[in-house]
Amino acid sequence: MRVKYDYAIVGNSAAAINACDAIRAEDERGTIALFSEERYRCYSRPLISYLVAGEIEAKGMYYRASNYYQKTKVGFFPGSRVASVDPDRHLLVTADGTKVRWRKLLLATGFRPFIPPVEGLEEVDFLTFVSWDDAKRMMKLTSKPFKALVVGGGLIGMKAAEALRARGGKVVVVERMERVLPMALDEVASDMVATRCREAGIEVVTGQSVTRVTSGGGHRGTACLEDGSEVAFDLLVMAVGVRPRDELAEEAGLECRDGITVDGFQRTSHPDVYAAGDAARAYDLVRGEPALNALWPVAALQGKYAGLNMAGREIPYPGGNSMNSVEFFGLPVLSAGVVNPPDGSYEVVVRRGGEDDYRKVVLQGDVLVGMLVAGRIERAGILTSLIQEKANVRRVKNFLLEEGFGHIHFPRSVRVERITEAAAGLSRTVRERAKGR
Amino acid sequence: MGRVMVTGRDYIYYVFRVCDRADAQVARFRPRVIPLRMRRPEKSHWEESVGYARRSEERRKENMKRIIPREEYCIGCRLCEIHCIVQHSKSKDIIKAFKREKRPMKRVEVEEHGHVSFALQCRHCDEAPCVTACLSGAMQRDPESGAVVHEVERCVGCWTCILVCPYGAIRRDGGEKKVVGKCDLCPDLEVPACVANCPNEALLLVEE
Repeated sequence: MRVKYDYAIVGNSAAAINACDAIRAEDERGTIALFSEERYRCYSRPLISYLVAGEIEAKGMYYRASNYYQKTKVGFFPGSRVASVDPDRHLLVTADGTKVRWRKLLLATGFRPFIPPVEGLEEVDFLTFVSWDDAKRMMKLTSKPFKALVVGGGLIGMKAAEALRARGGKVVVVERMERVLPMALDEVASDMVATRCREAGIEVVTGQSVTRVTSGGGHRGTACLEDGSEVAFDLLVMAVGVRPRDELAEEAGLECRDGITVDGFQRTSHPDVYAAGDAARAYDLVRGEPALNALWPVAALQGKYAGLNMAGREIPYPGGNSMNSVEFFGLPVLSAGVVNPPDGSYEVVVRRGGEDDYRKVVLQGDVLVGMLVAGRIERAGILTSLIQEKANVRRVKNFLLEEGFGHIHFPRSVRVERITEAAAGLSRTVRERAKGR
Repeated sequence: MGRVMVTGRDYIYYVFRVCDRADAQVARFRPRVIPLRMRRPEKSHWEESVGYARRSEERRKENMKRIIPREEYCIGCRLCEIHCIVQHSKSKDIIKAFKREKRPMKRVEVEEHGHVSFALQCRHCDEAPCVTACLSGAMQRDPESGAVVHEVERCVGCWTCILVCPYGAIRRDGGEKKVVGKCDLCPDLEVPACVANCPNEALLLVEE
């Protein structure tokens, strides 16, 4: 192994790969080393539920083509965990003792599943649902009829439940809050999703948590709920939440506060070390402060800007925001920004067009801060872009909830600028605001 | 006029408006075909558009094709949608595409409100949010053409691109497989079907 690299990247998922792309776009010559704990080429973590459900095959899991690393000229080291990092000496040590020097380092270490302390849990061979290995184990265990218990009704839990249901098992989901997907959706949409799931045969139990687990040998066991009822299972999936993996950064003496602290350029407290993805607490443009958003698109965007800045571009990260796109049994739901307003200072407008048609926008004064669209999701991205741009929507307020809402409702000058200035994606307004921050 | 492609009636406008008197001789020998009587606005959307295209700092590709709608000329006839469907159908035949085969989705959509209308399709943004957001890697920038291309085989239908597209230009396919679809700038054609078949030149192809 070469011992000196211009860029070293710890991680091999959305943030890491997008950083590689960005570095290569800026710096054709610089050497890049990419360290991955797992043995796979870069694959898409959110797709594991599609894999388990049988909607895609294993080859559909890969995020990039098989010759990606050669083509991008990246030294890829699968199965080599980075044990420690020394920012001042520009050094990292892998688990097998190899020392690698670097000029710029990116920590894209991602997240790990959070396992709550539950009595008796350590005796049960439970599953998590965050990696390809987890998916493989799950597929192996579900080849025969089974009954699964999923603890946690968040995004990972519900996706796991959907996939397990598609494999023909009996599935019970237990969520501690009063409704499923409490963070991503509002009450109405949660209800719509829960109804769909119940119709499809998933038992959804809300407002309950597992107090005790009794092992029945191997993967089997029985779980006790708060109200005293018992659920027997052949398979237990823990999907309560995720935590950023910032141990490596913390041991290296970098500033961490529940996630690696980064500045507006994705730089950590050391000027040559950058962080991106689910491990980093980066700027959230809706909340106006750093926040954790463990989401693929946000991680990818952070990785991109970290890469650009590592290669010397000095471009501020425009900021991410929470956004979710889910579909359960034919009901697609998209949401972005503030979906559940914390206090009465927000204006909420909803429209229910039918059983499977629901739209909601959340405004703060004349600024759109959140949206949720269920059923007819086309063109919802226009609302997302208005949230990201923090545009004044006073003149289009009456049209926001219309299905046909679009550029036609914008004032002509705005429309012309948005349509012809195709760099709009993360448009100039967002970029300029990021510069001024 | 440089790198901007001037076609059809625009050429005639160009001849009449841009050429000064000394060039009027040339103009006289051009065929005098003016298809529709329409008042040309003081400052056209098109001129504005070209200005924007030129001013934009970060252009990825020199000969990137872009389609620019001109709402002053759009009458909302939706022929662009029809020809888009035909072009993306199996037989590329209008009757078969609409009557016999599985009708493909339209990749251009006419927005209409009152008297104003225009057709909008994927902008092939320089910083395309759909490319960054795509979970499966199906949405990619083609290094050759600079266009944002969508590999249907790799799409899983997670709708994340729909969630982030600022133009609402990505739609669900509605076919058997759960995938999205969007404008591909008609790679088989020199001029995309919507531009070529617009009767009023309300869609303009600009090569940067």
